[in-house]
Amino acid sequence: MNTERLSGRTAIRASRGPWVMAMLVAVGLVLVSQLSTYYVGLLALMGINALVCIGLSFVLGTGQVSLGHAAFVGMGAYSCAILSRDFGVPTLLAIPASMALCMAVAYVLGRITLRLKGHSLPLATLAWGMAIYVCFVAAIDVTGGASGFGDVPPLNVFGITMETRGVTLLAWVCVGLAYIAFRRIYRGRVGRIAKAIKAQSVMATAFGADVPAVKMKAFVLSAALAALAGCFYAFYMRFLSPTSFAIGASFNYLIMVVLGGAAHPIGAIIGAVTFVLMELAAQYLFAKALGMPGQMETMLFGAVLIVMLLRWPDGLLTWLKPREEIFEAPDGHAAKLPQVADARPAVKRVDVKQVTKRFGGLHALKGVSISVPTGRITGLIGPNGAGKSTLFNAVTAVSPATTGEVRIDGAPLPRHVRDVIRTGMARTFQHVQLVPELTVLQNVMIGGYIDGRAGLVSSALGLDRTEEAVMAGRARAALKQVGLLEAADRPIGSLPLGSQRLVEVARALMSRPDVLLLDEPAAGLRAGEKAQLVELLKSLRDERGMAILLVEHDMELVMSCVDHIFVLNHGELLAEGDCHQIQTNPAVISAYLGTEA
Amino acid sequence: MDLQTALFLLADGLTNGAVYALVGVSLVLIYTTTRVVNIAQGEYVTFGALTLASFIEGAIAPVVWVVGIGGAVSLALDVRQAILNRRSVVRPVAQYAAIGAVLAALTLAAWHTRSLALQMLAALALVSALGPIVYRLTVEPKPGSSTVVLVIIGVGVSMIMHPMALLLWGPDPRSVPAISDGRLPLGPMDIAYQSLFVMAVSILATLALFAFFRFTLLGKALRAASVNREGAQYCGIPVVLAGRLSFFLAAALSAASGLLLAPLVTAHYEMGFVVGLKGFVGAAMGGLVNYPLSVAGVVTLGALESFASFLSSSYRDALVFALVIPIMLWRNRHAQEDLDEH
Repeated sequence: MNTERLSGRTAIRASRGPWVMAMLVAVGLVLVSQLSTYYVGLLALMGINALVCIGLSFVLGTGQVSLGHAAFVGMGAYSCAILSRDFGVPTLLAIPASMALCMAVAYVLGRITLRLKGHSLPLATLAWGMAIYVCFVAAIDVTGGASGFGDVPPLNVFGITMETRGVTLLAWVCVGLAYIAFRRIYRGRVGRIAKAIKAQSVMATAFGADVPAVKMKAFVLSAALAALAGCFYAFYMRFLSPTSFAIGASFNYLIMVVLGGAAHPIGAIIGAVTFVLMELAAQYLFAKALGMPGQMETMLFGAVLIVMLLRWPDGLLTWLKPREEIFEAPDGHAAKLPQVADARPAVKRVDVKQVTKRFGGLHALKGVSISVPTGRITGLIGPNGAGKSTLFNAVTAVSPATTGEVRIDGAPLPRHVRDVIRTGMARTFQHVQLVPELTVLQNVMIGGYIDGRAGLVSSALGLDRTEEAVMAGRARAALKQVGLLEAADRPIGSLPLGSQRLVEVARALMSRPDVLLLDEPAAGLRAGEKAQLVELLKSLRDERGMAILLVEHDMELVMSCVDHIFVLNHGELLAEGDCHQIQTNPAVISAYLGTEA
Repeated sequence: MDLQTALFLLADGLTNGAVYALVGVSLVLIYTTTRVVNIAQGEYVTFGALTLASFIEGAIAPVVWVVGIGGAVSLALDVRQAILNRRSVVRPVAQYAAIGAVLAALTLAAWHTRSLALQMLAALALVSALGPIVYRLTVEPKPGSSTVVLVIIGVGVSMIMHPMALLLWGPDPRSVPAISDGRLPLGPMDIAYQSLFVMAVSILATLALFAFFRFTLLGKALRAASVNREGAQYCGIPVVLAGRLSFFLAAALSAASGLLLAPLVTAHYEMGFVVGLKGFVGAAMGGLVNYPLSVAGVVTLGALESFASFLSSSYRDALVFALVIPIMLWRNRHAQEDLDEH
């Protein structure tokens, strides 16, 4: 009954969407046509800022930040203005040309920084922002220098010349389109992986994401939007001065994004609008009412930035949370989307041969060999510090072996973590790595990343609906297998730890692996859940013939399901054999219980 | 460009490099101990120079109010925390009172004396005290924030401190006397003693920090605090204290760079921000973690700046900041530990 009521309410709210849109459009049209030019100009500024922020917000969503976005806006504005005024290039050519220029610059900056640690992009964009600002001032023959660049011709589309009101409308149309596009991107395949990258980039890589490439796409796209905003700025102001694109402006964009919240593209628009209103109010309050110097404004915004980050990291979206739509999976579509698993040869066995691992002077593994054949549950046990996790990391390429090799049917293990899943191996994590902002279903869908094709463009145009539906269908099937189908639409944080571990198993099943690597899946599970896990593992072995490597401390669980056990101690293989052999092995007993000296 | 000009430019560049080096090593210091990429570091340069200028003019430096109010707020937060944790409130109160007394005594002494050394000491102490206050108010409330969040918080701090300098001291530049006006003749040219002072302080500070973090247990503990916060805490390393200490040291180094730089240029509210950014770009050469490489980076940057200003003064800063591109390319090629493959 409850679900019925819920879905009824969702339907009502969904049908309200177009009405809200229509209302907003109508109000916007009235405002633009009726207000005085000064206020229409403010609307234009809000729209221009919103365009920049929508892109920047997605960059922040991938866990990166740009401190020099005003430079992209400036470059877009100047190149568009110069092309239009000095070379007579028509508007419809000048805008794409400016955008392409900024995208090229962003590509170069991304190329040299995005493979490096987290602080490289902010540093490079900051330096680039300073450098290009200096160039705007210094290149007097081209930009007019500090005295500015005037006489920008008006915006002209198909022979229609647009003044302030027209530019404002056009800018907001672009904001609307960008909003729709980004809303689709956020909830699509790339949006999910972006959130995964921000939360746990090792996990995203383990499911096949090329992390620097995803960050690069977000960054280049944001530069394009910033350039577009710059073009509108040029056509709205008709006069450019370098100070509009100084480093302070870049900081302001950052404030708008943080103020609005980066979890949803609407946050960028709310942030941009609020910022302009706050600036207006602050100017009035400080300069006119209190007679204080203008610097107070900057200090106020600095304080707002810090307080928001510390107290309300979700920004204004904390209070204005937009609802997420969930795709219904149509039945019968599942077979139509090819999977990587269809094309690759089925894995028969994974062999670890004489693997050693050294961390400085510490020998974590001293020549360990194990084998993981299909149709068998292989247990890997050992006391704490025995080297289980080190071996697990070597098999998953997260931390490759110092010497020795891991072979999959005789072929060497791929060098990159992101390629491991393509060989037919999927894994779970010792410390649960799920994306807190996503639902259970969306978290499981991350496991299907390598099977999807939808990129930024196809998501933006809404061409990924079938794929998304198929993925959702597969995710539901995987959830059903682990017994969590009812929880599909719940936020992941509302599940107990034990269930979260099962969600990780479901996510690993998405790519239809032949080899399943489980790192302590039973930690935090209750007795009933453990029994359920044992049943699941057995059915995966018997029905799908999977190879399962189980690293686990819980002896009861291990003994109740594994077919073959390897025991590690002090980085060496202590014993191997079936459950009975291990339980009666004196060396194993002394390693676990200690021997009398 | 003849040899003499080149030598002159080189000496000038090395002086610049030494000034940036102090900021550069303070950035490395902060990053290696707290993982904060502190955009606002250059503001301490401004505050240091202008505080000294105020004392020399015989006025009480207005930064006293900032330290006083900031300290009071920090104290209030610490007392609240102590009450919540059911600890004694006497300890934080006593600590703050002791520090406050020392700072007040130094300030009064600097106000009444004509001794440059004492005034410099007071300015250094006051501005260094800002470091832990900023840490207390902006980083401590939310431990374990991501690098990106910490970068943005730094932006916020910079947006507050930059206009604050203008409000406190006004837009007029002030002159600060050098420690010694003499110049050291060196073959065909000569170098101001002040430049030599800057270089000496930079070299000493870098060596001291390098040795401290490489060889002493406390230094290793501080680095551990940034690598794994919780683990370090379990080992008994006071992580919070470590953060305050490194912000204090970093503020002191940057303020020192301001005190020494001020006589070479003039002290004004905008001097620090760009110095901070240049220290940042130079320190990127060492990935913000390596002292010798960072110093190499800032010295290269200083020399480039000096030659660039000879070639084209209007494009000077553009060339200097563009140095970030070869630095990043270099790190991509050579610094494996810097790669973030996952």
